[in-house]
Amino acid sequence: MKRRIQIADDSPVQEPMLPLINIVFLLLIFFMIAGSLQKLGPFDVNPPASQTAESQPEDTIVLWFGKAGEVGIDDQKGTLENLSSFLPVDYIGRPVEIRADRETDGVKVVALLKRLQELGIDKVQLMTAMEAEQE
Amino acid sequence: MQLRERNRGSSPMIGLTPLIDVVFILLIFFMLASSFLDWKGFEMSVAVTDGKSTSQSDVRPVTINVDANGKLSLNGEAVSLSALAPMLVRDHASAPVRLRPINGANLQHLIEVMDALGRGGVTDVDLVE
Repeated sequence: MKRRIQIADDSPVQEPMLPLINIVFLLLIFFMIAGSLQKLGPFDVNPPASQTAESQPEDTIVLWFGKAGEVGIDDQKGTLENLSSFLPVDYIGRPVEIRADRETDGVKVVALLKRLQELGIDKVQLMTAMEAEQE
Repeated sequence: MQLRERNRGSSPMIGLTPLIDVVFILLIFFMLASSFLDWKGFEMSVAVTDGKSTSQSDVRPVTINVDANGKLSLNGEAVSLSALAPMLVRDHASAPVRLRPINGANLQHLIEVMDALGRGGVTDVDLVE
């Protein structure tokens, strides 16, 4: 009885906890390395799937475009008409990446592109989520 | 000497429990904040036209209409998705390609057409209304 108590005192973490801690550490390292911190928009979009899109732009303005035609940048939300009011001040010359919902009407996407053209934005990327190539 | 004697009897000063708590909190944070979505983009020219020819080249542009069911027509003629890119390369190699969504075609349909064109070597596509 005396001996048992001594063993418990010397090891603060009981032995069955160690594999759990190991797994938690491995999971933590996995999420830190494999994942990237996501940019959250003012609303959720379900991106269109693509197999050939390649471009990964940098220093972009991320523009969210919902099914109903709503537009969002960072945490601000609006419509095509008042888009200029929530574009960043230094938007001229910076590429814009459009993260639109796959269900969005194509005509609305064209209208968005036209609006961006009117605002003097000439570099636009239409973003998609990559899907595996089907053989 | 006396101090040593005292320390030998007591448990370690730093317990593992707070460390495990912090690791758990970090794990939950990274699980919630991480995204594995692989965003890739199509470079779009914003030269959106209303369908009238505004290009500098003399070659007549080719217009592909995409409808809500994903059905395609090339300059008014019905064409399948798989035959589209070879047909463009064969018959309209130097013509500007324009994609027009009609009758409620959604973005996924447009991307599918752009995918098929990209696989066939046609990458410069404009959207028109």
